[in-house]
Amino acid sequence: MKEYTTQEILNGISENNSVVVQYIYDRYFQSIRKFIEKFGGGKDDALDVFQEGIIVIYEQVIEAKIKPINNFRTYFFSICKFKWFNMIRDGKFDEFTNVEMEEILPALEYQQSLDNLNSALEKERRVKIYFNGFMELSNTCRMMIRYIAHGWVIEDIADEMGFSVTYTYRKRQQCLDKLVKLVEYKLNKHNTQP
Amino acid sequence: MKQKDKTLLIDRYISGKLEDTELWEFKTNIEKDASLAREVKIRKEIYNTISNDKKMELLKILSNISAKKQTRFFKINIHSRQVQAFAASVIVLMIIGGGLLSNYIGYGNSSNYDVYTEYFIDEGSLLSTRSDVKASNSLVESGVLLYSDDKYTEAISLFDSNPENVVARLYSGFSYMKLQQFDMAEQQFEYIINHNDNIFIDQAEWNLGLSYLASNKIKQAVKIFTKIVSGNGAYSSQAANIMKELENK
Repeated sequence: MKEYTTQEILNGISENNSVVVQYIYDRYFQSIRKFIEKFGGGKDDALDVFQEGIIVIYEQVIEAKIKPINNFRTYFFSICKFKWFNMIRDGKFDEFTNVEMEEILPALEYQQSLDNLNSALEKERRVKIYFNGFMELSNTCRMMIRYIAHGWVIEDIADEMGFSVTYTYRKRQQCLDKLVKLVEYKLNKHNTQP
Repeated sequence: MKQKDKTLLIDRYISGKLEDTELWEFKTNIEKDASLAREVKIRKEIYNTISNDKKMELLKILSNISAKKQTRFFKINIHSRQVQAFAASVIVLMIIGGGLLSNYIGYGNSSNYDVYTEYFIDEGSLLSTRSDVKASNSLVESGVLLYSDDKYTEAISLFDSNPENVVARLYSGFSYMKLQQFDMAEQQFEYIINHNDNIFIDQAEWNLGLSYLASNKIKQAVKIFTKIVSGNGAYSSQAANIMKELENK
């Protein structure tokens, strides 16, 4: 396996380089999974935390809000651990997590306030829910909602998709209703976990 | 507020297109109605997410990572073309042979057709308004409404009159799938894929794979599902699941 430097990894994330993202997964996912299983989570939780950790770093790099870091692994793990501890902070692991938190906080606080990190993680959790809901729609609905999100008017969408304006109008409403219901269901489900 | 009006108003509010009076009234409604305020917030965040093409691409990459892991056994590191062809033949024979053997000894309760029915998504299920055919302007739209009314043969005759329209081809393919005329369905999806300049290619590939599966064309099905998995598209994780099911049969 080719080894990547911290800077190459950060560049790879910001450029949507799937090879680099796969490299991060191959290299670090099992450790994150073991850690999360140790603290009461499962593989799906680990995957969620992994994905949200990557997206948070992506945003930091894109917005040029990331300070130089020596070791990608340390920083990424700190974010993932912080994320998981926050998810279980009302759970039964406080006595263990306090010790672990002390280890990860310096790397995080060097970058930004913990409140900011918390907000960023919460934002990306919602973004991932929106994305997952969107991907569950039919292709027609996805295309239509993409056009709407990009600010297209109904007439242009109808023309592009070969539908009449009346039909596009109705279909658009069905697609949006379905997406909002899906998203609300997922948001409520996540709010009650773990 | 009617649902139809609400949806439009929310969009116009988000895009800053409400007139002064409408804006004032809408803001008052938001203050009074917590569920409306919540929907506005969600819709705004959804649009921000979906319109960010670069971030959407990253989300697709991330969501496909786990799907790819499941199909890695198909990607053995082989460089010779002959060996690749041989390996592909062995995999297909294993899948077909495994299926035949399991059927013979009585373990093959789940047929390829069952897998197809499990994964086939009925596009018409999203169409709730079924009585407005007369109001439609285009033959394609009428065909889609006939399809949603389960009148597949009539729908096909309308779609056939628009052979160059990819939407007509797509719904014609769905209609043939519903009629279990999978050879005809395949022709429609192949047209869309070969056309290559439209937004329905991933959907056509997915349904072409399902049609192959339903008609037991396992070699072709494996080939197209492998392509879908490697393409990081909307159907890659479902295609990976199908590959896994075929492997386990």
